[in-house]
Amino acid sequence: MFESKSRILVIDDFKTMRKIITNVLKSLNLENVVESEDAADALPIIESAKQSSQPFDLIISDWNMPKMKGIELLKKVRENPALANTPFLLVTAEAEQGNIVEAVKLGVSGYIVKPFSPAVLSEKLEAIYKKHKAA
Amino acid sequence: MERINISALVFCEDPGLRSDVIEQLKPLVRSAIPVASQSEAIAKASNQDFELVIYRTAQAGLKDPKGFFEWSLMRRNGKGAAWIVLGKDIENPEALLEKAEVKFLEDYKNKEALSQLIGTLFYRSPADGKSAPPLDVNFINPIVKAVVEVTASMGQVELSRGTPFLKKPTDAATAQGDISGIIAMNSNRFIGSLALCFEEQVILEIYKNMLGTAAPSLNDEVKDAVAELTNIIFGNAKRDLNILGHTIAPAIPSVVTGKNHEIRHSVKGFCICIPFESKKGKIVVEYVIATNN
Repeated sequence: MFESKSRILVIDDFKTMRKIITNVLKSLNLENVVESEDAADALPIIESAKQSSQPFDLIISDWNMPKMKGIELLKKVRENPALANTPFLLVTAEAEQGNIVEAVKLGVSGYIVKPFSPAVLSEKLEAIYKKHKAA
Repeated sequence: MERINISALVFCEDPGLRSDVIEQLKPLVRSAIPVASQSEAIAKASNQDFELVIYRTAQAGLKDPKGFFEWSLMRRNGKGAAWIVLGKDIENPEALLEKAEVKFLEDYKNKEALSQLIGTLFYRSPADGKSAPPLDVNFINPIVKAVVEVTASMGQVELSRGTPFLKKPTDAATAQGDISGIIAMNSNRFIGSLALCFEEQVILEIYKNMLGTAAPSLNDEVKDAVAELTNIIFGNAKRDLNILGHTIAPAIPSVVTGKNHEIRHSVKGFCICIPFESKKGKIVVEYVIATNN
């Protein structure tokens, strides 16, 4: 599992969902969390963190946001060689087959469908950690 | 509100009630034929088509309307008419229910209930007058499923569904709760919007269970939670509806709050309401859609 000092970025336009995810992370002893309200705002935060040698160990992003969608952020992260290997979990309320295929093609580390239980999020994080550790 | 293009036969011996029903029907249907007896019905309506019979009798000998019922089923070249029976003192109602669409309206002095029931029986899209996708169970069920599942899993609140109804036109902009999330529901076949209206106590309970902390009132944090719940319920319903062939597009919700707050749907038309009850209060889901052509 991710270490307790792991830096995690949680992006969702709804504070409620950021809080739900942060609460689950806290329960897993993951408290080094930064929050962002939109993928458009998150991108410079991700780039700046990398430049200052404090890269994020995990990005958890909502899919549908007003300024930039999570899938676009995933694409930009994967296109940047300095960030390309960052574990990236997409959270979606829609989970339509076409969306999932698109996300997988773009190299998403995992996706989770709202509503989800703390146990399901925890399992996803464990799976993502193992996947990236093995790569 | 546009009139529904049907003719109704109003069978009622009580002249006061008959007159009341006729007045209620005037803005709702194309025409209404008042009759006080079976012989008058046959004399007045044998050469006319009617799609609906509204039936009320207090006479013992007429309580079982089977013969009259059979006659009504021969109307419209055998397509028959739907029935609304006012009151519950009909003998052998099973015989009616076997053969046609029959609704029993016990609270028949409630004008709203009668208009809602007629709307439910005869809803047609105001845009084209032909199709009725909003009252199709295949359309309603994914919405109901999403509301019940998301509320149970995220808010730990169990809901029981009531009977869908149409909102009275004069109340069309008034919400049936204290806080509402609204989201556009557009596809290449229709445009419209969906709203989730929560009573204060039930949303406060959901909020507490979702986040582990209580909110003292309908503050900004609760508004945000309503928006996210609307987003998730819409997303889940959209997924299932799109599997059935709809092409509903993603959308971003908004929230309105306050006693008697107004919900402005994106199109005009019948507002279909689905009520849900819980131990902590009521949730009503409502939507208005119009054919997009």
